[in-house]
Amino acid sequence: MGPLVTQDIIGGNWNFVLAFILGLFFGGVLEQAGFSSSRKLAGVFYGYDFVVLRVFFTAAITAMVGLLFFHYFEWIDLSLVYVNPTFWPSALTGGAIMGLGFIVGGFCPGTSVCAASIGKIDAMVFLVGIFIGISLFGFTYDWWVDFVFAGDLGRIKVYDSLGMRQGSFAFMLIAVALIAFYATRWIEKRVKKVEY
Amino acid sequence: MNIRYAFVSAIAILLGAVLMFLPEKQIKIEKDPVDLLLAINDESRWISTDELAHSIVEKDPYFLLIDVRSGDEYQNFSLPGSLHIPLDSIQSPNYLPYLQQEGLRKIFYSNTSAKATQAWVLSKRRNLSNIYVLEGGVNRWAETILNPVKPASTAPQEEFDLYSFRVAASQYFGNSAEETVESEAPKKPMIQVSRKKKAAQGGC
Amino acid sequence: MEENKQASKYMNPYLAGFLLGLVLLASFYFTGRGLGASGAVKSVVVTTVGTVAPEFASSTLFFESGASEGESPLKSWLVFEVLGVLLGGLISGAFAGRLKLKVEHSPKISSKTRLIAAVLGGILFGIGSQFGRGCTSGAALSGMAVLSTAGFISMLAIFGTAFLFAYFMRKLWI
Repeated sequence: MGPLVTQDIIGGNWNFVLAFILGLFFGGVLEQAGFSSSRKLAGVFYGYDFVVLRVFFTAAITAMVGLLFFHYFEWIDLSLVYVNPTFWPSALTGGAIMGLGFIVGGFCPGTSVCAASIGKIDAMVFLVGIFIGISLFGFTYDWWVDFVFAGDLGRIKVYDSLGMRQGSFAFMLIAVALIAFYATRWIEKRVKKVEY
Repeated sequence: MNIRYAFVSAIAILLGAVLMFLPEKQIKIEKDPVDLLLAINDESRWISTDELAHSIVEKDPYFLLIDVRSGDEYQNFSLPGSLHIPLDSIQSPNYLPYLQQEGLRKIFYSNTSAKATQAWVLSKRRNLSNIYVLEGGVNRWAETILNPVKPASTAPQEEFDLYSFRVAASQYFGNSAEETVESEAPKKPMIQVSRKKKAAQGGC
Repeated sequence: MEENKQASKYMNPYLAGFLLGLVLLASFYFTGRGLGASGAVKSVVVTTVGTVAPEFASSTLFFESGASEGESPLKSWLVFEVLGVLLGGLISGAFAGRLKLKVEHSPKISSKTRLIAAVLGGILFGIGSQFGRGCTSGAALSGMAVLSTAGFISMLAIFGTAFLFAYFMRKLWI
């Protein structure tokens, strides 16, 4: 029963080998999907290319449905899976800053690594920017530390926050995604194409 | 093209519908609120200053004192060998390894019992076990251990026994609050209790 | 038809998303954690600061957290994963014939403008990822897969803000 590494079924250093292999596939899929092009990524915000929304939503739903079924068949112990804790003020602020960074820089960290690997200079520069940004945050950490740890809701799940059942939420999310997929196809046909 | 997409969509909807009707399997990450309320009313979290003095004098290795007061207060006076985790960072993941050492009794203390109890509730909510609160805190410690009051001559024998223990302890701890600051009891090495199952670390 | 031909060079987005979802699922199944990216850069930052100014690093909680374990912070899961992403992207790009050193930008702006915008965007993303405890992949994507509230908050905040500012930045892209 998974996850294998946390239960020492797969030993310490193999974890790093796995990380590398998973990274290989991660990078490969991102590149194949066209995530190495910032103008393709930015398309989602102007309606000329919704690849981000499609890939992102499909991936999240695939993994979510997979995890829920794995959990149901007891192939994986979800309590050992890392759930990022919710500190809502800093999550919201961080998300907003990243959103601005996305529309200005055209990448997110994962896609910039992928784009840098095939020679996009803007992506390499973006990575340097991330380096600077994290350093800036680190040097001023004392100013933020209280804020970053404020509003701790623990490792709360979204369906609990919304007061829904897990399965109902999963169903709703799938439905929302499908509606979004069809709606964006409709939009894409009506927005002027952009060459890139 | 459209038929293929419709087909995949149908599969997705079907999987979602199955998930919707599957019975719930709950995973508990945080303590159930009702259990937490019951635990709060449970008196077993208290450790008296005498019990603590006993533990320190007897060099009991299986406890960890945690000072949840502010940094200044900790600098001014702290119980020997205590670890400083201010109340506002008790939830910080940096300190989690200390609080997770299952073999140790973790004893929170503050000036009175109030802040330490808050720390205790916050930790209890995160399902941490083997945690206690020093009853009366540093103030009670000063009153009972550092400056014990001689009981009235009519008091029962037990009180005299307790008094003589406290006098001895008081000498052990150096008799006055100011001096104990220097008593650098060696910081307890962190005993890493290796747990077979540890949740995965995350972070992007 | 020109765009169509160009677009078809990339994989079908739904298929790519499905495969990405499987990679993410595999990551959860094997290692118990999702994918990420910005954490690797953080490791590099912590290492750099730890090497250049060790006293400063040990005095600051942010940098100390990485240095205290006695091992180089570079020996972290995410660093290996990101190295994998680099190689994976390279292999995939090589097969598709997309390896080329270039600055991709809208015809309305110069390469220089694009590069300045990229640095600014990177800085913002770096800061934001520390507040948000992860970036688009680590916090939003992996968070959504495990249905964590933080994941959904991050996702909505990232895309919501980007949409809000999209109008003002349109010159950069279209």
